[in-house]
Amino acid sequence: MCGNLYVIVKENCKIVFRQGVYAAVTFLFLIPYIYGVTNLNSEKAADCLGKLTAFIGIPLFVFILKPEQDSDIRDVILIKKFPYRISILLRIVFAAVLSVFLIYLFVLYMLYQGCEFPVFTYTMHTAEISTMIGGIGLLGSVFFRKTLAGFLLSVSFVFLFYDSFTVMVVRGIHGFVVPVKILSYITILWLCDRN
Amino acid sequence: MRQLLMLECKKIAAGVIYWLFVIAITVVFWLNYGNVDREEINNASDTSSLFYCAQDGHYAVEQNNLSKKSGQNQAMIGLTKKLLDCYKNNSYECYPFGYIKVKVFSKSEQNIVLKYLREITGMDKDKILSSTGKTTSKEPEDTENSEELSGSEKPEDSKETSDSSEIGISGGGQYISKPGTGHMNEAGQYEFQPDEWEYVENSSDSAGEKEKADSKEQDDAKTSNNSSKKKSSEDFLIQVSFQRFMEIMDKISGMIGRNSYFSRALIDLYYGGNDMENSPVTLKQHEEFYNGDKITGAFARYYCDNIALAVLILPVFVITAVMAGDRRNRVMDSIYAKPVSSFKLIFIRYFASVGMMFVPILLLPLKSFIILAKYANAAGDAVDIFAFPKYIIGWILPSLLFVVAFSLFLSVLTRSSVSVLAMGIFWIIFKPSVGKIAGGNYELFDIVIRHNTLKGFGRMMQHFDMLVINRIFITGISFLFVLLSVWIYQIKRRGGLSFHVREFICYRKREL
Repeated sequence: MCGNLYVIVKENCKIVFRQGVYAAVTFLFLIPYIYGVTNLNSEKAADCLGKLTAFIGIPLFVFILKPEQDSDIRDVILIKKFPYRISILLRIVFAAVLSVFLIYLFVLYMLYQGCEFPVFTYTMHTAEISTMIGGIGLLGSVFFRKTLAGFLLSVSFVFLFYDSFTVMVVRGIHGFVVPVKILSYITILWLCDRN
Repeated sequence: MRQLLMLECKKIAAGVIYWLFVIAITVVFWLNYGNVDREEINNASDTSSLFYCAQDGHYAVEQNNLSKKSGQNQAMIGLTKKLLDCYKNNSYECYPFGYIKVKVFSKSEQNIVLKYLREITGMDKDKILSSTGKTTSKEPEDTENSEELSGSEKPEDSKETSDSSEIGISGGGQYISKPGTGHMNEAGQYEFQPDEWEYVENSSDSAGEKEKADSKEQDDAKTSNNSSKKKSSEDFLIQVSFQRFMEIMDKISGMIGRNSYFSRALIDLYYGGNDMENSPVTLKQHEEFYNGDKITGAFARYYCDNIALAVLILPVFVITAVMAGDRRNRVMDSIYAKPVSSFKLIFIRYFASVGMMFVPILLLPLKSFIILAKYANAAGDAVDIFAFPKYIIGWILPSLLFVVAFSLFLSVLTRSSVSVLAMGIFWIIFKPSVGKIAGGNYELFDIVIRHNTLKGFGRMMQHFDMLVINRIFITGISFLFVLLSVWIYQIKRRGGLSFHVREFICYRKREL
């Protein structure tokens, strides 16, 4: 039983890691090139984290369902006894952990470069934005059964709320958004099983 | 061929991604452009509306502060203070990709800046390091090649009494902001928070007060000469002419990087007076709007600017979805086997995608055109009925052609959706920088053209040649990418170049 559980966790984590981490890490490496991360004050650091670093949520989350979007694989998965939504939940949790971890690594790099800002608050708020952007993409991906649709929704969301991200890093996302976010993740899991 | 084109169009229209694209571009249009036409018409009696017609023929005075001596002085003091701050903190900011980037200079580079600061202020290193950068010293000396500025002189025409590092950016009065404050939104509009600016009345707004302002400027110079004698030890003197000052700024800007505060583009934006704010309309702007733009031209340009950034990323989803559809439905082999040339296949797919995406872009401003045409008809003004199609074809179509061509190329090459991620990074890097928002300064490699104001027809026409060259160049590059796609597609059809991302990663893993 434990062996099976280990295999399930390992394989699902592998999917998240394989699909999104390359893109997320490449993007993080690019940030110092396009946005200065040296000696930033708290305002500019929030700008950098909110308007760039948080975007790693897009590749980390939207790719989660990609393997099952092949109809043959989906058919095989859905006839299995093990509930598909548990796999997806595992992947979402792992993607969220990875997102926090990568953001924290980037924050450490920023501190090393002489930036000054409240580390814990900014890291957690950036991770919140990251999971929000990624969650919207994931919802699109599961709803339309197309990863591209998920990407398009995430990008559109970024377009619409781009200006608010800096404020969100400083103050956190609005209290009203939190239940919406949780609801969207529940919808994702519900839709996964229905599909 | 026509049949194949229709087939491709139908295929695109049947895809959910295309309709998501249409919704996304519509939302971007409503949020950015919205009811700007109605607002302008409703405010026609307001002096800041482009529809405003002065009964007495008197319009606001042309604001180009850098051509006035007081404006030059203000710019030199503001920039010197900024440079002093940067030097002391060894932190130089620039906007190479539309985002702030802080550069830290090496010791030798700092020495070069120190040399320039000495030349500008005449102070030694200790004084430079001890100067607060808050005194507003100006001391003009009307010699042939040099002028000195001392802080006791305030630019009278703006009545600016606060720290001179604050910069006037508007017309009637002035919205005064600090360099480094404000940020750019997704539409490229420069925004300031309420606590980042204040409104200062300007006494020299109207034409009737121009003479008064000029005489004040002369008085100002005299006052400054007197004040120079009272210069305290904390004050710094501008020892160089404006021309030499700008040469120094160019060199410092070159050291920092693209779009620093000391670059011509940002100096013009902050100190040269720009028409992106709700400043009263000048006679020139009024004439340009009615005679040059013929009303609709200004709105067409503004529309193009508002959707330009969306066009730089959203089309990639549609073309990638079309290419991914073949892979998902496993029809690649049957397509490869068809007796249709790769050239025809790729070009038809390319034009079908471009055409389908171009339709909503072309139709979105229809309502705006009808509103403007009705208003102009009632007022007896002439409108350019082809302005919207002209601008959309000239400004947006080349960008659309390029984005679709580049995405198509990546899709054909990698047989994956990597083009989406690549274009995401591409969007961040190639998004036009702050200095280009106001329009008029075009470069060969600009993929999208910015012009975030209804005004500025003359500025565009001044650099029209470069604009045309740029658009032709971008279109040419697009077709080059399509030809490259054809070539790669042809090779793949023959069974060669079987590289694609997933296989590459798996192969690397096996090797390791």
